[in-house]
Amino acid sequence: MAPRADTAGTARTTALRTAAAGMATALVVLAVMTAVGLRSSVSATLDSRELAGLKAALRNDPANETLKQRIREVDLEVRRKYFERQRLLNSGRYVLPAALVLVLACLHVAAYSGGKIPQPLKAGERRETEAPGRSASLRSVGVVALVLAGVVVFAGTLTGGIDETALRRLCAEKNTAKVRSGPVAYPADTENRKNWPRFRGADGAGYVPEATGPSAWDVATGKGVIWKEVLPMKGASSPVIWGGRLFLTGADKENREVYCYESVSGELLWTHKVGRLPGGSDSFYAELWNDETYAASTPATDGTRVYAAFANGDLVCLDFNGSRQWARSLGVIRNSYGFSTSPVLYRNLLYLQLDQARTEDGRTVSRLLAVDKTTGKDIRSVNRPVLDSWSTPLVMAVNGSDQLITTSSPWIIGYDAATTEEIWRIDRLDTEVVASPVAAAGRVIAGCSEYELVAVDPSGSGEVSKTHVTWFAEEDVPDVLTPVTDGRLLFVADAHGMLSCYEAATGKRLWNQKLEGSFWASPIIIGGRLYLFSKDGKCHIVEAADSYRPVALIDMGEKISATPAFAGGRLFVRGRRHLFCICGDD
Amino acid sequence: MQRLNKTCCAGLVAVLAMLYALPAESLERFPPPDFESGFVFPEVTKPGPRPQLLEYLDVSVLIGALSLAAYLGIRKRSRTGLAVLGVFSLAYFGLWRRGCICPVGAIQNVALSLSDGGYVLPLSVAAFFFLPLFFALLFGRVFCSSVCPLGAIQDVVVLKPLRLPMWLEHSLGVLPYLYLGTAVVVTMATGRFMICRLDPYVGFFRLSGRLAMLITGGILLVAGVFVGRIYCRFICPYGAILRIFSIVSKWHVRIGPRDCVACTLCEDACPYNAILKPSGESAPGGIAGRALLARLIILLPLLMLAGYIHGKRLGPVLSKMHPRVRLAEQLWVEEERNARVRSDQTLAFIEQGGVPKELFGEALLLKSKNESWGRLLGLWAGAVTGLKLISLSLRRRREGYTPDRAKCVSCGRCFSSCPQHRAERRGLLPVERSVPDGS
Amino acid sequence: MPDDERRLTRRELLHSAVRGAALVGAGAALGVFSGRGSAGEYVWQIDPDKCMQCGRCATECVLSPSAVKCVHAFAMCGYCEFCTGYFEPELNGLNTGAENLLCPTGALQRSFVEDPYYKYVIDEDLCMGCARCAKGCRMFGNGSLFMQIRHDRCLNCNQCSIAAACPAGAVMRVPADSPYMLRGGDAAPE
Repeated sequence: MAPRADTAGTARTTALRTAAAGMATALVVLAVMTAVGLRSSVSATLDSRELAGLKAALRNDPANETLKQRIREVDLEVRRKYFERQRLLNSGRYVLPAALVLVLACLHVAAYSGGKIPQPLKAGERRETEAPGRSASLRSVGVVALVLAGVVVFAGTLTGGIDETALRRLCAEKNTAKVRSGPVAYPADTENRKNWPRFRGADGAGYVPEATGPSAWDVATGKGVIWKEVLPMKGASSPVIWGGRLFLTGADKENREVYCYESVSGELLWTHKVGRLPGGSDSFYAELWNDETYAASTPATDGTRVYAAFANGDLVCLDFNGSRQWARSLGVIRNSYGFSTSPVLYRNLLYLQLDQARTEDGRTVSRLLAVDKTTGKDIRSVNRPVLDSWSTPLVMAVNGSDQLITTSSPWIIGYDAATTEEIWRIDRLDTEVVASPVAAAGRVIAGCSEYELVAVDPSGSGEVSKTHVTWFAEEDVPDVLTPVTDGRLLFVADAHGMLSCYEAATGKRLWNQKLEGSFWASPIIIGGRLYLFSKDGKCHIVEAADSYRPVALIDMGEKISATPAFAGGRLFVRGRRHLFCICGDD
Repeated sequence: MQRLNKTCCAGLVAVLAMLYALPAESLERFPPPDFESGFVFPEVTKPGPRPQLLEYLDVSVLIGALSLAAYLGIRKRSRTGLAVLGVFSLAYFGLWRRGCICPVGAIQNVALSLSDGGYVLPLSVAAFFFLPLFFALLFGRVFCSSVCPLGAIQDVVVLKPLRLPMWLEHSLGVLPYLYLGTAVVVTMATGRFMICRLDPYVGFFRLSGRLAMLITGGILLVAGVFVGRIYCRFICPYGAILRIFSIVSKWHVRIGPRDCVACTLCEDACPYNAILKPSGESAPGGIAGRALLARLIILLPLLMLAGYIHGKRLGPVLSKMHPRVRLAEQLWVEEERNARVRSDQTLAFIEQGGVPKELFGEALLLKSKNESWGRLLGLWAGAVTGLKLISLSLRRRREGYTPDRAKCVSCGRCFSSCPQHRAERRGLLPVERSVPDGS
Repeated sequence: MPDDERRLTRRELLHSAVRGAALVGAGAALGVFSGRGSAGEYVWQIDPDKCMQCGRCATECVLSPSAVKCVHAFAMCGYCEFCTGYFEPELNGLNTGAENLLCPTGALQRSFVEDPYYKYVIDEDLCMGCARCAKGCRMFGNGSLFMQIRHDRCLNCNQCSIAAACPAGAVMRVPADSPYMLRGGDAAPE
């Protein structure tokens, strides 16, 4: 018996030692694998914070060669580490189980060689049968059941994030238009009216009722001019104002910039250079005929961010500190003179009327683009059967819901502003449409050069060419300048200086007067006064009244082609070289 | 306004038209060029999935392994054979087939095909689910013994098994039934496969996986050295079905080849507490016992009722697991807070043109449906607990040592403890060839 | 003990009845399931139109590196020199310095075809499925780079763990006989 026991003992010892060695190997491999990185973090190796920081630094300092060199080094190091870890983990994945299999096998051998033959139990040693243990079993099953019930009760107290009562109420509502479908950080109408948030101010009306505009100032002496700043770049776009900030765009063929001024002092707070966007270019469909056309679209703001478009198709969103939220290029826009439509904000949407000339093979590619203003991503894009235009759409409340009204040749189209679904269209325009539509006396007023001025009832649906025209005029029609109304009277000026006054409700022309000069900037009405800046820098101030009553004619001393802005009792005028802030010397 | 002389830039226009397509809604922003160098577009490679034929091979291997396990356990009485078959199954279904698909997970596919009309149960998955059940009805849990890779990986680490006290054994024995009910309800209510997600061993088959489950699996395996087959005994939902089928099986493995002489040698042989002892002298039944039984039988419907009533509270838990409800809640929270930065989920929802109101409506509907699912699960839990209590209070008269048909996984570890078995192996006794069913 | 034997028989009878019922039931269920239609296998695949290139494919797959790779529909590609899947969107310079490249592992490789066109191919052994290139291509380009589950790598888990994590619900079961959802059709145009 002794030698056999010895052999068994030796085998057992050997097996146990091998098992110990295997276990040690396994532990080492396990430690290495843990140290190298857990599976989820291996790919995270590549998300190096250092690399991201360096890349961000390079964006601010694009010409820094040492920075580039450093990025290349770090990048190489990061990749090397990633593949190294991947390799280590891969080999570990096979070594570890192999070691463990060895350990197991040895332990089984050891257990077998040391195994004892089972011996019968002695009397009295025999284990109790189930009976005495049964009550304990019953109790413990009860305990398990109770514990689980407790878990259930606890889980039940974890209520979900949805406020169900509010949700039920919401779902019971009939009007789907009221359901907010995006982040709805849009300002109230009253806020908009206090500021000048887009082209031609709140609602694009160009009209501030409860205010008094300046009627006397002198640029040469500085009387009535609060400040005057030299503009870094040119543009035909107007300033927009929110709170104490004024935003403005400027561009040339290669560069595009957004400026933020303090509206009180005129101090330039920041300049954002747009730079070259992916897919963007410096090429244009047609060569721009005027150096102010590269920045012709007026930006828009919702009180927290500013959105600016440029003639080359760049669209950027900046916060009030000038840091970019998103930017995208819409590509080359097929516009015969240069894209100049301004963006329009509606709730979570940013609308851009991307009307374009036909393609060489005669296709119409105009569209109305609605992007999510928080992300810049397309939400909807609606094709439009129209030619290229230069007008900015109008948001107008019609029978309790908001319409987005666009004008282009040949269609005036009303869309549901929330869903971008077309509601009505009317075929009344024929020539190039530059003037934007305005709302007056519940009608949409639109017009195009040398053709027609038309007032349309926007309550129709479908094609309403024959049914919904309230009135129209064929003389003294708008061409470049957008008309302006105080609700009762409608003032229409054309590029050659013919200023006409109509009764908005009936279309009856009350008077017309030829003004000196030619004009690009659209008129605005502040209080009871109409302001009209001529191209050669003369400001015509006229009473907005039933008859022609001039108030003043003031020389700005430089060319003016941008529509002025008004906020906080001050008039902001963009000239060719300067930005003026005027309070008047009345 | 001056009209632009278009002819002068016609050339430029032509060049631009070639370079840029318009930023239209279609994705062709930059149309593929007409190459002059004769470049041809390379083919997009499409490496195919595993051929269908191999899936049927898996089914054949399963049938073969089940038959072999039944033969080795019941007819041949070979523990070594079963152990080798177990290692083979671990290698084939585990390491080679990476643990997918297995009958345990197939529970969910069956449940999903019942609740989701768009999901048709593939034939091979149906085979994987039903074949072990048929075998269990005929031969007991031969699937568990050496065909299931999860069982096999646990079986090889059993080295120093400890005996758990019976009360613990019984109380934890309820868990597989509860897990089964939970997994089925979760799949049918939310479409999620929690058995697969919480599978502790599949990570070892794949040699990679979620860290939490790898750690859990590691702990279970180390504990499995001392407490045999923890997953099979206290967790496995498929085992829960097999237990019931095994109780009524036609044949079943026996401890010894002949009538038990109650020599007590096998009493410690089973690492899984699956050997029933002779009932001995303690009187079965009795007035006290019958009164207890009566009380428990009355308790059963009460437990089920309580489960049904309180099961409603499981609704929010199920809803939390439901992807659509989660999306709705996320969207709701973001809308409430006017969030500037959207989460990926809601962003995707909006990009795909989802209507929030419809989603909220859907979520409300799902929430009330989930309360019904919760009630069903509560009902099931009450029934399981009540029936377990009743079964514990039943007594049977037993002459010798027999395997507990529900718990026994037919692994054959007890064979060698029976002196009659050993005597047959050594040729001291003629080999008993008749296969009694071993009731 | 005749009483005992009778009880035993009774229980056996009960067991046989239950067994028979279970066999019939399970058989019927199997019949119903297999009769429900030609039940082919399923595999997992990403719908590229739903995919939002969030990058979770790289981390959620049970495999490391992930079985999800970027796939290139060559017939849809614009072969641009300034490829926004290849270069950082905010480009420092149009060269292949590390500061300008998007792919973290160098899996997206380009070669010159003819002026001014470049061909872009993916080395799948290097690709980790982070979807950065696909995102760049989708945002500013044609979307010819997109994510697909590669079936030579995919384990075809019973429930894909990426599907459970995908925010866009883009990972879905598709029939195994058409296992890919490729952009721009399956074949290259004439």
